[in-house]
Amino acid sequence: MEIGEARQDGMLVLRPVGRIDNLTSAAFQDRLLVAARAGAADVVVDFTAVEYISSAGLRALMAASKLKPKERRIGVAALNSIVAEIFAISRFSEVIPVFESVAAAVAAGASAAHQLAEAAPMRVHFWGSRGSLPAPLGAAAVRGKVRDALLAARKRELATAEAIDAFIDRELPFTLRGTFGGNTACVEIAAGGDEYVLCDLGTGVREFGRKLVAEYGSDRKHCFNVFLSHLHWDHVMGFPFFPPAYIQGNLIRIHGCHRSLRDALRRQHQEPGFPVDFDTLGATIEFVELVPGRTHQVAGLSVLPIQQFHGGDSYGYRFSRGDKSIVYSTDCEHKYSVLDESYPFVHFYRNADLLIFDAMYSLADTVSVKEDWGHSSNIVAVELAQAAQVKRLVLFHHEPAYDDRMIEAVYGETLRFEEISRDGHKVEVIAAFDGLDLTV
Amino acid sequence: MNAALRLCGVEAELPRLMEFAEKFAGRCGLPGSERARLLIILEELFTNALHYGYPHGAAQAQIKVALTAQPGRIEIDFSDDGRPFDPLAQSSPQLDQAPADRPEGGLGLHILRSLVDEASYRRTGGRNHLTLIRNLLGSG
Repeated sequence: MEIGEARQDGMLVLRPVGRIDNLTSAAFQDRLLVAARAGAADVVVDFTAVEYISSAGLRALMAASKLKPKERRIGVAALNSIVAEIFAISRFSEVIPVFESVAAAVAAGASAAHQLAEAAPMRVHFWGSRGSLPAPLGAAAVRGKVRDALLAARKRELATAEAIDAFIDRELPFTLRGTFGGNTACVEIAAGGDEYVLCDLGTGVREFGRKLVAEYGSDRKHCFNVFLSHLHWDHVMGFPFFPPAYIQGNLIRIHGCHRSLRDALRRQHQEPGFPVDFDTLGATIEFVELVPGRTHQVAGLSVLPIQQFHGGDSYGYRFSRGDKSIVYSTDCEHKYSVLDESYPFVHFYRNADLLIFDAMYSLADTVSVKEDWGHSSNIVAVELAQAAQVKRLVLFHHEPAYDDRMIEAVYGETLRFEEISRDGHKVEVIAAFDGLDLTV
Repeated sequence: MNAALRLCGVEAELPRLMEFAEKFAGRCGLPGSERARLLIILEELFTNALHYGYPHGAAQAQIKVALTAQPGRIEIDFSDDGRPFDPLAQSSPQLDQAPADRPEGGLGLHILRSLVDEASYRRTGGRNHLTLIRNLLGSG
């Protein structure tokens, strides 16, 4: 049977023509299931051009609504008097949602999807949390961890694999059982939509891309929205190794406030630095220049950029949806004399649920050797988070010269400082590591 | 006005049945909605007979349909040589069950019974005979 197809405000509209009866119901059911399974959209069947439906057609609708993926909805709209009569006889409006018109279905779908999306938690995944340069774990560091773990395990009953796992998980400190990781900045914000949102394209993006291709293969096409804090090497160097960039049909939108976004990305694909020219990449790559201080709507999020203090400028982003906010603010050397609303970042970070903050150095480093290097300290991080009443503060952009112990020491110092300087409002402090997953 | 048709017991006969009913509706000047109801009734009758009447295959089945237009109503006589089966005696499907638990069978018979105003069944000469009356609505 002839079944037209159209997209309307994020919904897939199917328009069967003629009779949905014993002769056409199998094709109708297949088409409905393909639509519900393949796409990422809810499906509404527009009955405007349907003459009538028999029990075979109803069974097809019932089967399709049972077999469809749970997260997809199928509805019907614009029933003529005969179809409406058959639906009433069979009490089918209890099986499948019935709408006056396609427009009514779209409106209902949009409001339900909106409510669902507003209520659903956002997930933040750290694919890379190191600053300046990748910092792989070396042999000496691994040996040190193994040695310390064995020392800690002495005189313990660790006869079974389960006992060993329990010992690792519950008794070994993070620096022995894991590592903060060495990939440079890349943070994913999963807001529940179909499009991906990434902050920066450091070497962490390679892991993200590999996982995606492993999970979905190269047939499934994706849309990525990247927000670049700035164009320094460590924040873009992962892109040439991002597998989805090589797959035709993928769409990558690179957002940022720098005029030279496109040039910076193209340049690292040029000989003699890299053999694959930017123009030969399979994915469609678009550049979107954002304006600081102006709110932009991307992938269901409101995104507000702010200019920061960093050589060549950098930008922070506040991502909001409903009453939740996540701030990504890296590569900024904060300088203030008084911490109140007059300091723009207190306002920008105000009441954020999560603040991802460049706390590259310990305070001792900041006030001595690394002043004016364009980064901030763990102490500044806490002061700002307290002044802005931030709920959770993530220490990010770890110094590549710091080993796991050193980062752990800075983290411990930060926890103590937060406690002694606390004035009523508690800020939960977290140290980012590659693989950290947070829910907001 | 009347018309009659003989059918074999294969689904491929359905388009012929539909065509026959459409012609009849056209000749009687039935409104579109009554034509649609007639087509639905005949489809449900035919697929139901094939489904319930011939457990060992319906290919050799001999099915007869006769339509008679009377003032304000249509009489449908439907007969098959399948095993004895009274569609009017079947209980209605439980439509008050949750959608996921609804049985798939019985829906066609339920629609059929709902669309006709009078119905009678008899078994004679090794055949199932159904006589159905649908009172035509004034317009639609």
